[in-house]
Amino acid sequence: MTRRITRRTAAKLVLSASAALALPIPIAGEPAGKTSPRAILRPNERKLLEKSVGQLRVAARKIQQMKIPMGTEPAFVFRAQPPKK
Amino acid sequence: MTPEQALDATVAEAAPFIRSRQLSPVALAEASLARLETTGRSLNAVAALTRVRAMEEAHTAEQEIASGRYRGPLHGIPYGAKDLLATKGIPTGWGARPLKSQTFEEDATVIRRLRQAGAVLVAKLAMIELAGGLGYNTPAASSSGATSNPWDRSRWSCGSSSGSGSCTAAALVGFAIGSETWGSILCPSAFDGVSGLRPTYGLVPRTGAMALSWTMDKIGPMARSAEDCRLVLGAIAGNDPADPSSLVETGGREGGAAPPSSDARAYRVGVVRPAFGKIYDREVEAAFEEAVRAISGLGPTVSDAKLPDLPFDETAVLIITVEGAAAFEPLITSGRVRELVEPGAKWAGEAARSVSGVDYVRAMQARRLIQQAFEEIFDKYDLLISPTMPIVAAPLANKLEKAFAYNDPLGSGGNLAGLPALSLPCGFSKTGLPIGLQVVGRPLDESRVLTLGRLYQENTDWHRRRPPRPPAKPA
Repeated sequence: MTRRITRRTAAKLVLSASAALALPIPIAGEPAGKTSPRAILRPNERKLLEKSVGQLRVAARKIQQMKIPMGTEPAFVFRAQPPKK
Repeated sequence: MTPEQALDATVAEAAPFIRSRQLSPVALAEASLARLETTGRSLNAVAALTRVRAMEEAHTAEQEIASGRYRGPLHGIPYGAKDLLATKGIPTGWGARPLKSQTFEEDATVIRRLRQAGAVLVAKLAMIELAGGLGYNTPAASSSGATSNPWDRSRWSCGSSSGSGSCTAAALVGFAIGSETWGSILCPSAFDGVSGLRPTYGLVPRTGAMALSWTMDKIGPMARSAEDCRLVLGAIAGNDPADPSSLVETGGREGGAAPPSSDARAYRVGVVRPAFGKIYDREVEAAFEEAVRAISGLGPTVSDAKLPDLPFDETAVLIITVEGAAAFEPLITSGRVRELVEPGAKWAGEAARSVSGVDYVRAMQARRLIQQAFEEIFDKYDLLISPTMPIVAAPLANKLEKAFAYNDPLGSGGNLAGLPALSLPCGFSKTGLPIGLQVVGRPLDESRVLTLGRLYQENTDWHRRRPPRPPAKPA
């Protein structure tokens, strides 16, 4: 005896499988950003992502090591200062 | 002066002929379009020709001048704009395949101001996709493909204002508009042998321009002389209430108004020699040192200047990475980032998310200290000079992470502190590739920067050289 499955059940089965990780993002009809981009990267691409992350961490560490006086105003509202002379 | 001669000349040289009606803006636009159609296309330097608009603006210019209504030195001059500046009804693709047919309802403020000055828009110019906002590692990272250097087509024009540099150097347009977040005006100016000005942050409005890094993006002219840069800046600078970053108080310095002194003897010039290491091309070094001697000969006080030991590059990298990922979030989350040429764009958003909010704020604090450090430097000097790039134009096939593997403290620091900088041709390699010299000034001190550039060019002829023109194809 065969059991009929609904489209919803079929979709659940498909999307719960590991194959879902291989789906391109965005999945048609799904809200954007639902699947981690990391999940769809090939192994060599993941290595390159890790390399990028590592480089950013090195940069952040270098700034962390700076002696920045407490209360230093971040340059969010950046204003170029006119010449004094 | 024929239209062909006018295209090879500077704006300042061609303008009097237009004013006196010896040179027709219509004929000049046609000549420019013809060169763009052939040479421009072969260089991969053109995103789109704007023929219909160009001919309409050229005819208007001709009629106005004939009726005695001359608008100024840009009237009737053909120019190209980097394809990140909105132009009403004409696709503005930001160099990115997924956005190739993107259009806007209004002109960017810079485009509108140039129209008011009577300039004729002949083309949208090729650029690196998203101005490199999600990173790039090859010159081919553009919907137009890699833009060739007109001095040697196997070499890169640099980016991200690739077409602006290439078309200006090849004399296809009178001048071009580029933009810089870190190096995107100065590098193509050096590689292509043109004069390019990165204005003070906030001096030129960005309304209608693609945002990559809100706190660092600048728009500026690329031309065939420092004087031409001054003329173009005069037309595009000044407050625009629609741009929150646009400076209100500029002390009347728009357009490089008359400097405190045009006598170079009054200037204190600091020579910055960054530790470029092994990558520093000896021919670039020799040309730069010769330029230092030439500038000394103009009469200013010239002495060595040293930048403090601060994490200039790291601070710029963190800020641009994070702001770029935020700017292009819709492309990242929609997955359309996968349509970009650069493979690394696929994970750029993910990499940027690894930077914590604390790290970003710390970078902004570091930036404040960098700004203060430059204020102290400019207590001692009026201007800084340095090689624009330590290398000549890189081969098109090169990976950029290797070609550009050096520290760029004056480039990153200058952009972080919003300083104006001008790149000038200062020599050529034995293989005929241009070498650039940069002049950096205090914020809003475009006057001194441009004046030193003009004086240098009055005493040298590097900016007068033009790349070989390819033979015309038989009809």
